[in-house]
Amino acid sequence: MSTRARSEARGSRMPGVAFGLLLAGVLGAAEAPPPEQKAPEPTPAARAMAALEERLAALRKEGAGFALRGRYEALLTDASAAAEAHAADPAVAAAHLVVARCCEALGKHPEKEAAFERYIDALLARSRDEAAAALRAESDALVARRELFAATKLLRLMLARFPDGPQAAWALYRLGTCHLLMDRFEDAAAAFGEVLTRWPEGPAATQARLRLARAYLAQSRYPEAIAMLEASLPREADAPLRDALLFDLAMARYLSRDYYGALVGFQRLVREAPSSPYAPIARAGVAKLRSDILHRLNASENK
Amino acid sequence: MAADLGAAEAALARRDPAAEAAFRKAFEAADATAEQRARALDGLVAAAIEGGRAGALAADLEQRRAAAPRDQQAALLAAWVRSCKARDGHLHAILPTLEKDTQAAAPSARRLLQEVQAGTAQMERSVKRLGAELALAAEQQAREAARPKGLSRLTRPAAVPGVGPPGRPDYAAQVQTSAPPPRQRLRAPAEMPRVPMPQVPRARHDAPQAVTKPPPWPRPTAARLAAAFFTQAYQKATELAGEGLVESAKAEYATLMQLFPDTPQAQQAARYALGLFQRERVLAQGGDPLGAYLQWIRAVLGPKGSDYAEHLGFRSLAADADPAVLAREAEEFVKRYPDSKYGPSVRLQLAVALDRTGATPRAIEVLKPLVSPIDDESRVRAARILAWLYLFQGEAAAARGVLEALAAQTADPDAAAEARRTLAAIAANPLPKLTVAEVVGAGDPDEVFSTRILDLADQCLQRNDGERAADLYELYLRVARESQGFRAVRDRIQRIKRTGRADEE
Repeated sequence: MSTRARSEARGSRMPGVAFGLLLAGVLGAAEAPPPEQKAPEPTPAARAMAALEERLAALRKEGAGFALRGRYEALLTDASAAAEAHAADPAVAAAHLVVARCCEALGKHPEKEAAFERYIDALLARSRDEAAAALRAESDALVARRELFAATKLLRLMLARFPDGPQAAWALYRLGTCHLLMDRFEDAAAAFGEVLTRWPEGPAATQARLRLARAYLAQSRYPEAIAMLEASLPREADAPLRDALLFDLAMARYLSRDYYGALVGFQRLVREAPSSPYAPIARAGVAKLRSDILHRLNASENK
Repeated sequence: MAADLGAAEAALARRDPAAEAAFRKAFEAADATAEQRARALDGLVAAAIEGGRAGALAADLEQRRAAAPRDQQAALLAAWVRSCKARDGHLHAILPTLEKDTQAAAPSARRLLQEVQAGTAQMERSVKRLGAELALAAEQQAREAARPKGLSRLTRPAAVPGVGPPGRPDYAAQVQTSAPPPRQRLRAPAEMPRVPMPQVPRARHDAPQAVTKPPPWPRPTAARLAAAFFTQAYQKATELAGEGLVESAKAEYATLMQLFPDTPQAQQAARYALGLFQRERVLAQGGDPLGAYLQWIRAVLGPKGSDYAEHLGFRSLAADADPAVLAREAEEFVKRYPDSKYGPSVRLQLAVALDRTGATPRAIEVLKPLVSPIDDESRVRAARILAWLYLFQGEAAAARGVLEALAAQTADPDAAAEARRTLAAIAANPLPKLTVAEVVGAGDPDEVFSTRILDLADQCLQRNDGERAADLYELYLRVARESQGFRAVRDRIQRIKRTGRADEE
């Protein structure tokens, strides 16, 4: 199929695809709006895919209850057949997505993952950006539903397909956050550490530092958290998230019982970022430090 | 009858003024047993004391006792003693009456009375006896000094040997004149013989040996008496406290402390009374238990007071006390007992309380005298608190001075090491100076701090910055204090972590 025909086919099935992507939580991955030109005649493959997507949309509108299992099974069979029939056509990605969604509704998670992988491969053949966007949207949807194990598998798939570049950095960072949510602090620290090693100046670096500090604090690895935060403090006073880093540094010192360091950290935050949302907390932190220290010294007197 | 008594006790527990009438009715009922009468009488006394009518009750009971049968005398007497105690605050006034009334009582009652008398009047009698003995000794010494020197009647040889013993002396006054013997004339030699002086070892002025006086208490009998009285008071107070009559239980301990003020039993009674105040604090969930306890103990022990008993209050009730109240009471303690051995610890509490009320310069002034020299544990602690107060004031140089003195003077290696660590940290990271108003907030610092973290986390969540919200939630869980509100927030955070949503759906 020529590029023109492909774009025509894409244009003709766009409403269905967009609706399907919206339902799958991948609206962000949808293509650009169709060009305002006369829609050419869709190919048979495109028509088949559009029909599948319409059926899927209608089914998902009704829900995913037990009574609908038969219809999902039927759609799964039809979509699988269509995917086989149009395996060489780039539009087959839609069929794989329909298969994946049907498997998801039927609780066939391994089959769903395999179908989604085929869907991503089909998208990759068409556009890497589309594939990346679909992977991001799907992983975000999984994390939002707290299907964290599936999300980590998907993010590893993304890392395999995008081993380098900003997509890899994003996938590694997201993998780390999934591990944090799963209380796998060692794995999380490893993922964030790799992000910082490979992309120390990347857009996710500062966020990764904050999350890495959280992972260290959760494991009571205070010296490592303090060293990492101290090393990562930007010199520019207006650097983004500098106040958050200062606050986390002071808190790490407080939790490690370095009270003088915490006092200096809180006062530094108040002095250097007085309008930050962390400044009121830092002021309260100084008061709490004072209360804690004096109470501790005084309480030991009364034992 | 039992139901009436139960209703009356319930009314007393509610502090209902009708309780007194109900107990009186139960006591006067014709079909009441001795045990029920005793219960009714106990309740009647408690209700009257609660209502401030102890004096009227004492007069009433005295009249009743005159007309009561013999089997009710014991209960009426005990109730009368308690009401008189509540009226006067002590037992001294009723002892003569007790003595008179128990002439014909059972020997055990008489013995108990004698013991109480001994306990209350022993000191006075001892002083009188000692005075009398000293006066007698002085008189004998004066008589000995006035007696003429020479042979006594016993050592003088018989006037006529072999005649026999002399007859009875005639005690009629006989005037005798005795002339002194003629003085011999002595001629002094021209040169006095030289007589060597005996070599007497020179007296050395040794330092007086320290005399360890026996402790004034416990004397054997008084100790036994105090112990016996303490056992009775403890049992009665426990029983009363179990029935909810906490004030009466405290009165039992107060009686003991008044009768035997300087005994270990008095100290133990103060501890138990303090326990009653702590229990009241837990039940009432608030109030001013420290002020109430100190007021009570000062009223019980009078102007002399007891630094130990008051120090107990500071040690046990200061943690939850209002800083202003704590500062006021601690200053009062320091004024009343300037030389108390508990003074340093109360001064530390005074300094911390002053700091919490915002009077940090005064707190520093209170602590300064305690840190020169820094040679014991209290002074080490005072030095550490003082150094931190200087740091919170932004006066790093003054803090450094205190810490250097601490590191140099203390024998505690841990305190010295910590002081050196803080000195090194000050050298590495100079303290930015802030004004006090910026760092001192209103309210409980723990609550303010954790609430602000939680608020910011919620704001992050609303801005769809779920990861930063999770960071802050984790910090909140680490610093917030365990409480009912904390548990609710913790559950919400767990829900957010588990479902990604703050609501329960």
